[in-house]
Amino acid sequence: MWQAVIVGLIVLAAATYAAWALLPAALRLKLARHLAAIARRAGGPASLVRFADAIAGSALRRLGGCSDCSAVQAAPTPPKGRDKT
Amino acid sequence: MSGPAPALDAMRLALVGVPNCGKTALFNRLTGSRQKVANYAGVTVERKEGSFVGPTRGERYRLLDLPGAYSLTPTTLDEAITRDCLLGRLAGESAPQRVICVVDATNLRLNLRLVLELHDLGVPMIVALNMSDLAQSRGFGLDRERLERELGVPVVETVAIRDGGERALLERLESLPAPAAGPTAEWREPSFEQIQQTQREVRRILHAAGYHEPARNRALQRVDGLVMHPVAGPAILAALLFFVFQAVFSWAAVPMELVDAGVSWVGAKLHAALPPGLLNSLLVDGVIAGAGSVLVFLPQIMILFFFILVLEDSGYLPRAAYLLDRLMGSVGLSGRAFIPLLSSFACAVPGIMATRTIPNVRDRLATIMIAPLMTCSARLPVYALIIAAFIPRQRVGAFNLQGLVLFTLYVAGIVAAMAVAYALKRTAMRSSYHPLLLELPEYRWPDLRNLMLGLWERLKIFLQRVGTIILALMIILWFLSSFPAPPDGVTGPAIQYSFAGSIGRALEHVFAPIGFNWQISLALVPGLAAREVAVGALGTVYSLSATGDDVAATLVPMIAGTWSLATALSLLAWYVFAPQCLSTLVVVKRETNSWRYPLLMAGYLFALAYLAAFVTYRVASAVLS
Repeated sequence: MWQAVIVGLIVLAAATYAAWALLPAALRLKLARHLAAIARRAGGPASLVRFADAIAGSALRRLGGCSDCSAVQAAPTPPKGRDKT
Repeated sequence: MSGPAPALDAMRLALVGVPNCGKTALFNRLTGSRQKVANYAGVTVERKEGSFVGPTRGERYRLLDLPGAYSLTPTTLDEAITRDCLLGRLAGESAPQRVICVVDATNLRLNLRLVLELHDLGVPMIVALNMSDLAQSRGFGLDRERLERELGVPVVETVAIRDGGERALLERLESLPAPAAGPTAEWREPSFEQIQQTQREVRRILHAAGYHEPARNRALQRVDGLVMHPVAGPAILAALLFFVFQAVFSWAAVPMELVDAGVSWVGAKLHAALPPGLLNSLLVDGVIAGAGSVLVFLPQIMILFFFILVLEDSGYLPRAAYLLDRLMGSVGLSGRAFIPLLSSFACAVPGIMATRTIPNVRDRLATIMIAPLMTCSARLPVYALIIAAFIPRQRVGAFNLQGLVLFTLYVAGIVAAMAVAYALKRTAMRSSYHPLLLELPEYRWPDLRNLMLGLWERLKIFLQRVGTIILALMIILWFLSSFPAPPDGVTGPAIQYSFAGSIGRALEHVFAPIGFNWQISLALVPGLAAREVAVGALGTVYSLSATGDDVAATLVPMIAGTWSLATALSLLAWYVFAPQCLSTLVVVKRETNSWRYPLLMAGYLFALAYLAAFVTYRVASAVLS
């Protein structure tokens, strides 16, 4: 029984992480900021707010879309009024 | 972002300069960051941000690393980013308070035009005379103090690739009063006469500052004569690439066996230590067999990147671009497509982003569409697995047969890319030919620190992928392969009755004509997240399919005993075109501002992959039967 509980938790954590990591980067950032705002509004413990902020910061850093290359670590900001290609 | 978090009152600095003057190396030196640097132009195609604290006064600085620009009049998207950032036109980004204009001390004629343009704009500025050690050792002459007086802005010497090479810049930065934000004059595109006037001013200033260039090293001239010779040059390039792929297999054999033995040992120990049950199966069949089978290919990836980094740092790659310009032109591509396509050998994502350096929109789109055909490093584990299982480890003359097959697969990707470009440039993306204008950097010995940092970054990235997304997907796949439990009284492996078994069998209907069994069909699904995940997925699926003593066996002998040679060749052909990479499709959407191109890309790659695998499977089956 204890094995089933541990395995269930591991699978749940893996599914949550995979769903989060494979979300489109912009949506992930939006969700992370939303979570951070909720944590702050709810007046939860400081550690929870810090955790939510860390998730938002991590989502911002990964906005490049692919963790495979050191050339895409920063958040790209398209120039204002950029032409459609 | 790196270094300490920037405070709101941190002074905003920006690094600007012509391409390949060492901006990113200086950025890394100042902020402790590890952004990619290389000895060719166009590595940085978007603004990057970092922060640091002044060593003496403790003042905080926020530093932007901007793409290289020859002037403030942009011809490409990345140059437009630089201009807009300097002028405060970027959304949510005010103009920098001070600009550090990095100039290459060995190429001041080309670099000073931008300095003068920034000066005219009234931007508070420091000029960093970078690579000053190289200039001195090569016999360039310059009176720095006189140059400072002529330009009317501080000029400091820097050596971005050496420890302490930024010290003079930091001291000068801290000694200057805080400037007001942004440019004081309005920028207007200069007329032809104004550009000529600026060039005359550059020549006058350099003359006044006692600038003189040494005669070029004769030995290097002879090397260039050979390397860029119309006949010898391409032969040397082909030989170099051939050697790299030979080394990937020959040199990696021993370390791969060690990693493989380590993974098997950990799996066996875990299997013996844990009581039989779900947790045992998850760790041994899911985590170790899945993620472990990807880990085995680490030595090959490291060896490939070692060579790429050496070629980058030595200054050879722009010469290769020059050599391949004729080939590019013959299929209608711009010579500027070379660097983005080369970057795509690591990963298509930065390659597609690097197409911002291509000024013509249709040329850029055509390059984006073919970038995924370059063999990215994520395909290497798949190729290596199938080659190790089906191609005998023997020599053909002086060559390693496995290396020869790998080389052929890389060439097949290039040939396919050229063929697709040819078709696109003669139909939907037709445009006139744009000659290649490329600055050839001097040859230099690869910097050991850069090389080690580059390899360390690749190692970290690979291990991070294995430990995060690949591991998570393997756990999910294990769950799908283990549940629901098989009905009572059945004798076959439980996986056949699981969710994964059902998905695999449903997909098998689509892929059976190209020789894929249900295990391969299933492995293609998690491979959408990253291509190398397919290897881990095969590891998990085959580990759960095996019974008794086979559980301990590794993936290579398992697939060698189960697949036909025709199936193996068909899967190799599939992966030359393999459309599955969600990150690539998302970046194409972002770079083109449209879903049309990623959908078109996924559609044509899937069609090509299926067609190539179908023909390969049918021909191989007919020949081998």
